[in-house]
Order: sequence, then C-alpha cells, then structure tokens
Amino acid sequence: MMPIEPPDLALFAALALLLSGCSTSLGIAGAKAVSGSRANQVGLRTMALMEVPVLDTRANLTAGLSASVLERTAPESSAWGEWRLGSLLGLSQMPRPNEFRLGYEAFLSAGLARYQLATAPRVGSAFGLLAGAPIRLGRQLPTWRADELIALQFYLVPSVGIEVLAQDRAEVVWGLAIRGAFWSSAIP
Amino acid sequence: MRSWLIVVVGAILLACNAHSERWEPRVPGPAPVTPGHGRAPSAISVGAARADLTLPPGGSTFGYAPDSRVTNGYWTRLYCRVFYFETDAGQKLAVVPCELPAMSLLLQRRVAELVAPRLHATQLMMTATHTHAGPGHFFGARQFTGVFSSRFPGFDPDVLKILSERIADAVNRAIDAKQPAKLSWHHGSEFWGLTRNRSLSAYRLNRDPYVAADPPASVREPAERAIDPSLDVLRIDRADPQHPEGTLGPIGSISLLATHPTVLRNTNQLYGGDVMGVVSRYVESRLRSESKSGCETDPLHGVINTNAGDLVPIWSTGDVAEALEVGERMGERVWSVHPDVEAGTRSVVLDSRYMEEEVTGARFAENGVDYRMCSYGELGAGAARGSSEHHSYISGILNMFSTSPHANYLAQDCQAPKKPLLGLISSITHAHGAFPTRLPFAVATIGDTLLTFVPMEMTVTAGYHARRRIENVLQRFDGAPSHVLIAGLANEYVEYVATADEYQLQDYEGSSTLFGPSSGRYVTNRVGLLAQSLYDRSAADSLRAWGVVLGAANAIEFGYGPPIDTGITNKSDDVHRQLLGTCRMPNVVADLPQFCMYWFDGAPADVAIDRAPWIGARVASAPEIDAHDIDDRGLAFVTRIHTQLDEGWVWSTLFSPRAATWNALASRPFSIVSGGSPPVASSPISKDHLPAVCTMRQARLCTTGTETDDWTGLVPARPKRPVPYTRGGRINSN
Repeated sequence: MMPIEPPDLALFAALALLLSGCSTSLGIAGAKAVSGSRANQVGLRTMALMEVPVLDTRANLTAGLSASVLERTAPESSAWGEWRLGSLLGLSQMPRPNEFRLGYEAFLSAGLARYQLATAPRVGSAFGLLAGAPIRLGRQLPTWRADELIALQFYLVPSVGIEVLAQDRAEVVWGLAIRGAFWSSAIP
Repeated sequence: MRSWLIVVVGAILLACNAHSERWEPRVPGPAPVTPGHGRAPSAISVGAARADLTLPPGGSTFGYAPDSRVTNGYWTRLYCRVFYFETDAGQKLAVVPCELPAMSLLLQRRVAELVAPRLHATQLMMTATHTHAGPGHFFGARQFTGVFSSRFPGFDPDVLKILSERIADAVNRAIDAKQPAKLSWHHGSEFWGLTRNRSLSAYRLNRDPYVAADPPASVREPAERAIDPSLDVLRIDRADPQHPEGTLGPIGSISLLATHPTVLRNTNQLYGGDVMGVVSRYVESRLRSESKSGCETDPLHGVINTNAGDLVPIWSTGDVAEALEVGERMGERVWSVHPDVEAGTRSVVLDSRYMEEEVTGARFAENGVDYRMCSYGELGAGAARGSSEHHSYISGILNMFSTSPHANYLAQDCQAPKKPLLGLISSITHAHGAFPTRLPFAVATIGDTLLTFVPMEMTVTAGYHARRRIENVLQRFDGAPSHVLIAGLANEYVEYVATADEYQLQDYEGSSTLFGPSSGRYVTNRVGLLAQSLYDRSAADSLRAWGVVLGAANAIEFGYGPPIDTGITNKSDDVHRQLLGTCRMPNVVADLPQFCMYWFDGAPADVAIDRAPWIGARVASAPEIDAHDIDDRGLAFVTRIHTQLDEGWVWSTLFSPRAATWNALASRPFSIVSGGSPPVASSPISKDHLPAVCTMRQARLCTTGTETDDWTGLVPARPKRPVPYTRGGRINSN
C-alpha cells in the first residue's frame, strides 16, 4: 500500500475542493401534510451539496445533506420542536455565469424526522423527492469572462418536494434559499 | 407564469437528452492497393490548398490543461495547409500540417470520410504544430474534453463539424489543383541558438542520449547541445511543361523542425499560431515574392514538429511581440536554407505504409526481451506542475507544501515509478475512452526522405532512438531513403513519449508518458518494422504476429466527454454595426504608430470572421505592399471582442504595421475596415492625417482587452435606428 504523504493529501484536498463544486444554502422551508393528520410547519433549512462531474452530461451527480428546523403552525402552533435531517443524492445543473440563468436539480432524500403526532412527538424515518430550480444571481457573462479556475457564485433556489414520514403521513415540502457555490470553469 | 413553466419543462426535457448529436465515423477499411511499384521514381504532381480554421472567439484554447483560457479574439488566423502528392504510378499521399494544439483521430477520420473515395484514411497525414493558442473541443477522448482539460471543458460537435468540413474542402481543392511539380529537399543542422532543452535533468539520465553534432563555435556548453538543430525543408515548385528544368513558381514548402511553438503563456486568450504561425507567414511572404508576376498564387508553407517533446524556443516575456520576434528569427533561418529553385527533381519515389494498434497491453520484443505495454493510460503527478517553462497555476499551491519527487520508487506496477496524478481516484482515467488507445503510425517516402508519422511528442532522445532504428533498417535496402525524419503529433495525440531512462525521473515529459516506461521502445519497435515493411514482407508478418494488420483502419470507439455549446453557431436576429472610435496608440516607437479601432458588431457567430480577410487596411492602390501585411491573414492585427451592450457587441482591433509596410502606406490615405455590410471603416489615415491619440481607456481596450463595465466616453449615445447587418464582403480589393 502506497503511503499517503501530506503533500499528496494537500493536492487531493485541493483537487477535491475544485472537483466537488461545494455549495451551501440557507433559507426558509415549510411542509404541509397531505395524508394522515393535518399539519403545517414552517422554518429554516440549510443544505450542503457536493457536485461530482463523473457523468458525460450537463447535470452533475450531486450528493449532500439537508437539515431543517420547523415550527408547527397548524393545527395549533407549537415550539420549534420539529426537524428534518436527510442525505441527498441526485442530479444538479447549476448555471454558470455564461449560461442561461435557470438550472434544475432533483434529489432523492433519506433521513430522519422529528414530528408531532396527535399528542406526542415522534422520531422516524423520512424518505422523499426534492426538485429545485437554481436561479443564478448576477448578470450573464460571455465565456471569456467566465473562465475562472475557482470562483463563488450565488443562486436563489426555490424547491418543492414530497416526503413520507415513517408510516404516519406524507407531506409536501417547499423551500426558498440563497445558495453560495464554489465552482471552477475547469470542471464541466 | 406560463412562459416560465414552458422554460422549466423545456429545461427538464433538455436534461433528459443532454448528449449532443454525435457523429460516429464509418470504418474506412483496408487501404487501397497501389498500382505500380513503390520503389521506382515516378513523375510527381502536387496540389496545395489552405483551410482556414479560425473560429469565432468564445471557445477554449487547448494545451495548458485547466490553465487553457477561453478565447476573446485572435492575433493570427489558424490554417491547415494541405499538400497533396500523386505520382503517375498511382501513389497518393496528403500531408496536412495544421495550426492546432494537437491532432485528433476523430477529426482525421471525419475528414477522410468527407474526401472519400478520392483519398483513403491511411493516405491522409494530418499533423499539428502544437500551438497552445488553438481550439479544443474536438477530441475523441474524455481526458482531452473533460474535467481539467481547459477552462471551458467539453466536446462541441459544431467545432468538429466546422473543422472537418473546412479541412476536407481544402483537401479536395488540393487534389483538384494538382499539377506536375519539382521537389527538392534541404537537409541540414541550422537550427542552432533558437531552442533549448527544458528538461535537462531527465535528459541527463539517458545512457544513450542524443547529442547534436558539429555545433557552431558559439555553442560552448554541453546543455546547448541537448537540442536537435536539424532543419529539413521540402520545396515544391510548379514544373514548366515547356522546359524540363524550369519551373513556373512555388507551390509551397514544408519545414520540419524540433521545437515546441509555445512562447505565449497560459494567460493568453487569443487564437493564434504562436511562433510556428509566424514562421509559416514569414516564409509564405518570401514565396509570394518569388511567384511570377501576374500569377494569382497562394504558395503555402507548412511546419511539422519533429521530436520536440523537451525542446522549447528561447523566450523571456511570453507575449505576442516576443512570439513575433522569435518566430521571425526562426522564419529567417528556415527561408535561408530553402533549396534553389533549379535543384528540384520531377520524378520521386512516393510510397507509404500505415498501421493502427490498440496500445494497451500491446506486446513486442527488443534485444531478446519481451515487453508489454500498460493496460491503461495514466498521467503522473509530475504533470500537475506543468513544464519547467510554463508552470501551471496549481504548481504554486503544490510548492507551498512540498517539492518532493513525483515518483514512487517502491511501486511495482506497470506504470512504476509513476505516482498517479489523481492518487486514489486515478482509476477514473483507466476506463475506455478516457485517453486514446488506438494509435496510428505511418511512414512515407518522398524522394530521398522517409517521414515517420507518430501520434505523440517524442523527446529529442526518444525520437533519436526511433530515427536511428529506421536508419539501421533502411541501410540494408538498395535505393532506400537516406534521411529519416519524425513527424510528431500526427493523426492522433497521446501526449509525450520519453525514453525509459527519462521516465524514471517522472519529470513533466516522463509523467505525461501515458502508457508506461516501455513506450519509447514500443514506438521504436513499431516504426522500425513499419519502415522495413516498405522493402521486406517479413516485417508485415512480424507485425501480424503481434496482432497488427498493415494498412487497416478499423473501428474505434471514441470517448467524447461532456457535451458543450461554445456558441460559435449561435446567431443573433438583430445585429447592429457602428464605428465607435479610431485612435493612435500613445507610445510611438521608432516613428512606427499603432492604430486602435473599436466598433459595434454582432456576436461571435454573426461576424464574417470565417471569410478572410475580415479585418484590414483598405488602400486604393498599393501593389508594392503584400496584402497579407495589411490584413488579418498576416501578423499585423490583434482583434478582440469585449462585451455586449444594448446596441451590440464591442469589438476592437489593433493595427501594428511593420516599418516597411508603414513606409509604403503612410503617404497615401487608408482606412481600417471590418468586412461586412455595411462595412465599418475608420476615417482615412495617413502620415499627415493621423487620428487623435488614444485616451488611456481606449488604449487599454486595444492592448490588453481589459474589461470594463463603464463605457462612458467610449460609446456614444444610442442611435435612433440600428443599422441592419448582412454577413459577407471582403475588405480589400488589393
């Protein structure tokens, strides 16, 4: 086994950063039950994503984590006791500065959720689908002004999805977030 | 709301069909059987034609990996120069030196398909000068169009289509233009003092190095002899049917020399031929001077890169001005050794052999030892820093942590001691289609010279070993060529081949030797057998024993990489053309002014950049001026696109006439013109009516292409009606 030396790790880390298209988003999120007991929640969601350009397509394979804290607003309001925690896997096309500003993404999510059932809270599994439309902020640039080795780009990302909480209920989830993404023009 | 919904749905549908339309080449099959005997001299006819490959800006250059910038203009046009040879005995061969970063077998096959049945793929030798200021996006290997291949990675089928159609058109024109010719070779060693070996550490590991012989007195240091000073020129003239020894003017010439053409740095964003582009234009201007007056001719000069893997021009600043200076010195040297017109012969031996082989796992034997090529191609860690004279951006980051060797001398695998560039994830480059693995080799005799076409950049010593093998083989056969030359970057591209000794250091060239330490021996073995097959059938049997069938061009599964749209075919509906300003650059050196003109025009795909000349100086009558010296077919114009405003795209051009040109031009009024309808033209300029000196903002526009978002003072108030635009229209009837 070849020993891994610190310079190799440094190179690997630098390449990983450039390769990964890391992004972080923060925004508002909500959920509305469409089966089971009636419930509405609203709160905050944060997401961390990593794009991996291994497919010969415009959209990149993307993986990440999502975390939401929610306050129930119906049937009666309650404290910020609900949360969702999920891993994400899907495809994402985040428009570059030289491209049309609207992109798309779709994820499968799997994780855990803490939610209110009738009178008692419960922690259970949460599986779902989430689709978003990243909107690049800032004006469009020609390709010769958008060939950065590494740069930061911001997006507004509306999203909508569906999530199934254990056997208890299904809910429609929505969100609107600001996302900051590192990107490199050397990575398709 | 509905329009947004349509856009979203359309985007989803596009994503589901994200693969571009890809052309899959048809298999050319076996080479045609040539009538007649290849060894007997036969009357030769030659035709030549030029293909203009200049693309609109917006695509990426290729050659500096992730440091290859996206283009915003051009300082020379990019050409392929087709030389078509045909003998009365029926042999055919097209030699096509191209001002491209590298050659692609995908491109070569597409051109061959378009010119079939006039020429077969095995008779089409396309080489690249290796300018790093040429376009990418047309390779059939994912590592050359994918991640880190440039700053705008991707495969664009429009680029492949445009390049292949233009080259094929030129091949057909060359075939149509063939006429009886006289050929003459110069073989010498006059290329001293212009190049250096950039990898001396690796070179010095060679136990059997190439050392240039008979250096001039000015060469004192051993390091100065670590180059190949060979300079070989094939001159081609039109034979005079009335006079057996006479000619009717030059068709063109081809020079073969050993150097990278790369003076321009990796910050360059202009398409151009670099120093070899300057060499070609210098020699062509001399050939035009020799042309008979009254004849409308376009003699061509093509440059072929020989074994230049570790050889580079001697340069310091790396800008366009230096590329011009270095290129002119090289051009003077090349022109100085052009054979006399009277020295040619009308009958030559023209013969060729071609082979392709899947290099992964290929077996061969040398000196009783069996070798096997590695089963995958891989870049080593030493490639990440770039070459010694063109460091990569990432080398600065790496050097902060370590300058330790890039080799792992404990490794036992086939690629040892190569340390994979991508470390733990390097296996992603092992898949089929990542790097080219089906390698074409060819040999061709033209008179007393055998050209060896190889799809790589061989170091000076690796090339010497291959050449020496062929020379030893040919010595056994009467009438065989007495000169052997390597023609590198031919028909495909698999980066570098270093010798097994150089490979041990895993410096830039060694790290970029994709298929392991036996690569140099492999190439030597195969080209030796290929050359032998011209005279000895047993060589073909030897190759067949290794699974190689001579003359066959087989199916290839290309890897295309991610699809991309460079925008070179995206036309606008409404294009506005308007002159914005003309001025004289502030700094006048030696009474030689430079002129800046900037104007509104269409997007890159709208302008008539493909119809040379597009930019030039229009003057009423100046027969003593070479037209190429006052338009963008030469070296006097640097043209850029900047940004899009409401009224249109802002373009600029900087006209830098040479001293002789300015002396001829200054006394009569001329205008700088951008072709099209309506034309955009400056007010008349002459020595007595110079435009105003540029403001600093205007000067920056024309020199560095500095981007600005404040156009106040540079752009007038919006006109009431946009002027309609139509493509086409040349700019000078000179």
